[in-house]
Amino acid sequence: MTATACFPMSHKETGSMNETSHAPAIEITGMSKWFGSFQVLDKIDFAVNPGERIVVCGPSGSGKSTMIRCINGLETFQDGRITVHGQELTQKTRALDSVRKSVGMVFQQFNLFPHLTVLENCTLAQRWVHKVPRTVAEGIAMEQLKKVRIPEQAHKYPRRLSGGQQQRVAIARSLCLRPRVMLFDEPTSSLDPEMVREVLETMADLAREGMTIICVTHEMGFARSIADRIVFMDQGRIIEEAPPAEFFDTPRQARTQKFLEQVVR
Amino acid sequence: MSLLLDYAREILQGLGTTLSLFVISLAIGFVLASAVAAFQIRFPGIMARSVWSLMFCIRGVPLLLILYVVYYGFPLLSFIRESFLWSLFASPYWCAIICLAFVEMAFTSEIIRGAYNQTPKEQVEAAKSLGLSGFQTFRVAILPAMLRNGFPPYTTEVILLCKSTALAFTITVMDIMGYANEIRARTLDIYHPLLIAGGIYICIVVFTRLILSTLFNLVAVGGTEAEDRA
Repeated sequence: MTATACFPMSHKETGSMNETSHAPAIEITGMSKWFGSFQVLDKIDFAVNPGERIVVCGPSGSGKSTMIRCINGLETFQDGRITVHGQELTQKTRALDSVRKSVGMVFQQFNLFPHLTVLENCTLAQRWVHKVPRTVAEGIAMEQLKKVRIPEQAHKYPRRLSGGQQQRVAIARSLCLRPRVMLFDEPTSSLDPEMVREVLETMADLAREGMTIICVTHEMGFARSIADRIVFMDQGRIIEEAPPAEFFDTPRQARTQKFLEQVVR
Repeated sequence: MSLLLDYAREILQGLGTTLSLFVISLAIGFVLASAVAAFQIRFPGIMARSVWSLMFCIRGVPLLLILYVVYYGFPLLSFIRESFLWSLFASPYWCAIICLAFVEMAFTSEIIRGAYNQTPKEQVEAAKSLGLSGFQTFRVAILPAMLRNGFPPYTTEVILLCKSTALAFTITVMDIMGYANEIRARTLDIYHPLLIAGGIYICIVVFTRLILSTLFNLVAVGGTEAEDRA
């Protein structure tokens, strides 16, 4: 997809808005993870500043999804450490809860609760976790649904919505909790081609507002126009990290060049 | 015709017994099954496997055999005869309920366990990523999925249980089958009393199905076939 023209915002326009804050939003040091004897992540070192937009790409099986799933504790890791806004992530319930409150996550398969309406999906965690009264929660939910441009679907069940609409609801559901970081795990990979754009545009809106974003995606056009930095992973390692222009035009590593030849045409 | 009505009237005296056997053993069986399934899910490994094997054995043995062991065999055991258990096992009605509930537990626990294992892990992850606690995750992600997956097989199981209650007449419980059999033995009229009893069982099953599908539609609002049919 040649989406460069669709997201007319270069990282230079707004990328510097948060550069004044010094503490990284997310800091990963020496993180390694094994599935049995197979090492999926190999000494990952990686930091994200507040307001920064990172796109993670790489061939399948390179560990990119696993890495971002570690950031909100959906996966455990055996070595190294992750801090999110200064809080170290452990498997202790309290640390997990506190991290998950500030980190939103959007999945490839949307994962809306099918027996709840769109509005209920968006108010559930507000009411149960943050103890927000129902009317207030519904107000916040409608506000976020307007932001992702589907307030009219609020009372429908997820099954009635297209894939793109469901993914936008999933984004709204996360935003309702006012996260400081949003993680996207291949948010457009299970969408029909004509739905991809509406989801990418919603994400571009978020990026414009200065949300810290880490997104695993194969949408290179999106990466080029939105990302401040592109992280390329292969075989559990970070191979290359560079601003989009440099990454696409003058990649340093041979592995990156080969990957780009295959993906970008 | 009036003869048939007389038969029907006599057989219907057993309706209350059949229904109470059915409903009470269903309720006890469900509670036990939930506990057994929860145990297997909570303590995987050797414990779960032993419980599973025990349930497998119960499922593999004919209900009639269990009824006979309990009704004819238990009174031979002195610790049962001499304890409070005797008041339970001396009654054929309660023997039947205990056996039915026991077998129901073995079948239903497997349905519940299967339904739990079919819960999409993505739903659980979504709940976790929103910061929901363990119980909240169970309530919003696991339980609804279990109901969706477990209800159809459970309906079948409930209907099978309803028909299994007919075995209680073999240990002298006078249920629908008991009365029908009594008429058959007394009058040597084989077809009429049994056909009437069969008709009554079909009515109970139809009614049970109706209740179950109403319940299912209540708990499975939206996102399921229930809404499509409406």
